[in-house]
Amino acid sequence: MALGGWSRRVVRALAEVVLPDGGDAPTVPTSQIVDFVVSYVPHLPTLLRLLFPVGLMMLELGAFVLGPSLLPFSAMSLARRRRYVDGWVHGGWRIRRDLIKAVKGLCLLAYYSDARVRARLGYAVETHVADVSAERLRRHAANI
Amino acid sequence: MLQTFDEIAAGGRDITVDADVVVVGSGAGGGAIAAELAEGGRSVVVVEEGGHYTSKDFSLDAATMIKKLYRNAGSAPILGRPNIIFSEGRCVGGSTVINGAMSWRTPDKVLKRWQWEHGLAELSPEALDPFFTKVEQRVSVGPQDPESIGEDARLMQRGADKLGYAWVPAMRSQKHCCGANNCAFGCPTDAKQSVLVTYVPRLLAAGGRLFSGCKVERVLTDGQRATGIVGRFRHPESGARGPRLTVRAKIVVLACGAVQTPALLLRNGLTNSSGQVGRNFLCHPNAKVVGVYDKPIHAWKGTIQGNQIREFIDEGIMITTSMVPPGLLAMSFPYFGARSWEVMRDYDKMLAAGCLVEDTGTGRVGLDLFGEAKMRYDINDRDFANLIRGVALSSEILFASGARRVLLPFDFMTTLESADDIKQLFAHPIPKDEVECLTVHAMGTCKMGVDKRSSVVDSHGESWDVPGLFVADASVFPGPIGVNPQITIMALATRTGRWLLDNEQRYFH
Repeated sequence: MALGGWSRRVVRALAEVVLPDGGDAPTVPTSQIVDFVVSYVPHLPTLLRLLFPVGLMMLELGAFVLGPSLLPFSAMSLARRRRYVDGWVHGGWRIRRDLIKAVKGLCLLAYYSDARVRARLGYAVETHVADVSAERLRRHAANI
Repeated sequence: MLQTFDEIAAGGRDITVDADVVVVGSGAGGGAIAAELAEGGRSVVVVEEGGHYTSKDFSLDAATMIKKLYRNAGSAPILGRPNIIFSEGRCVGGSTVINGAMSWRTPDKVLKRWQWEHGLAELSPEALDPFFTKVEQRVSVGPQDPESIGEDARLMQRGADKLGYAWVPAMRSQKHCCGANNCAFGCPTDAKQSVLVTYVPRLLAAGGRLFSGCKVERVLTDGQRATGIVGRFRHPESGARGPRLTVRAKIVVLACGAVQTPALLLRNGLTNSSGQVGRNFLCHPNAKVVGVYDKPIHAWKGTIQGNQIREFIDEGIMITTSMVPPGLLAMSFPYFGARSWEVMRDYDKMLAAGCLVEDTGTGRVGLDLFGEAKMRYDINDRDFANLIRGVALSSEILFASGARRVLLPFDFMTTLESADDIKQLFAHPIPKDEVECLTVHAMGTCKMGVDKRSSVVDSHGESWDVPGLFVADASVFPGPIGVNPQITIMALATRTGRWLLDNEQRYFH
């Protein structure tokens, strides 16, 4: 089951909050993050896959009750969304913390896996693997 | 012969195959027993749900590989207090493709416990020695070449030495591992001697067959004995349906791991007269702490684990390095937005250490509304206290090695600024559901024993209820082992294979 446009909108609104911004944090297109989350959901166990959009709906419509806000989550200003998400992350309800942890985690996995971000962090894993692989062959070619 | 989903789907027709043995799963247990039997002259068919990927397919991009190599993209939740993320491989080679290749024999104290408490007198260190030796040769267990040890392992060692804590150099299944540190997403150099590059080639060379991308749905019986399996080919990534596979066999071996094996048995209503299938679920809960140093240490350079701190192993706590790519590390922190970047920009100065707890409590694997495996595990008070102690000891070692602060796996208490702060961990009770916990070791859900009223299989892995049905994975462990389980799984599976070959008249005529 693919996530629809409505779910994508909520994920996008959340991604804008949880992705690093400002300072020297590289910018990664939000659409790239949303695409990753959407591509990840089909891999979840069936029950979680079905509950995923329900959780997003809680996030979106919970704003009316928990915000409290006259606007759904995805229509709030960025500053308001930040405060709202902060309430979920640090709130007392475990179900809210678990839900936000899961979606936030996926957004951050996609962000920090981006080549630009990895480069900024100094995580030059491609170069490292190429170097040590070549060295391994040079030293041990006869024994492997 | 190895046939993938794409090759079978192109043919379009259902397939029926006859064999002496069908093995479900191609990981540590399935790979070992399949090769043992094929080399012993038996016709063997292995059925693997995941795809077939080799080092040519392995990329260094965690976000991509996690979807290809892991079941549920590494995100299966074990529900309880706290929720625990469980990751296991789902590909040809199983979890050996994505594990750290840590290779330890079952500790003698564990085997003694199994003898005393579960009556498994045959599983003495002496009796198992030939199987351990054989397995260690097959997967090239040995110490790391010194040049492959990373700065993270050296720092851990330095911290432990300063505190007088005992440590051991890592023993791993590898051939001149060069410290690429991409074990969790497939070894890019084939230095790691996973089942993919050891037992699978042996199986195929001995005439065995392996079907990948096929999910086994039914275990066939004639009312008494196991007689085969029925599976459905499904594309490992898209899930697209393909033809059906039927394997008629004299022996059926389940080696799908300690979560999927009991789930398959429960779906089929098999071998549960004891009521023990899925119970006794053990998972070695573990938590990660991250030291942040003043200078770059490039913890991602060098082998995944260069040593293990064994000072507290008799208390059920094992500590080691466990560096992961930035995406996976960031998602385990409670931070987001600008704060996430503030913390993660020090990635190159970070060292991640994991503490593993040998559990004394148990959980349960059952089926959910959709017939899929569901896991339930509430960490008990004793194990939780050990986990917190493990976090404290890991923090102490990191500070002793020069860390300027330590990031904790808790939702609310997130940082320690000095070793003096460690006592804060014990000042107030930490709520269980505020700890970030994970595991890659599932065990115990079809436990072996000598009494069919309290165990699922006998001491050779054969079902008490269904003759000819065997289990050859970590499900059969009657208790936790406190160390990485790969070698124990392989040795017990090899022993089961040898038992079948030595009792040819009973099983194959």
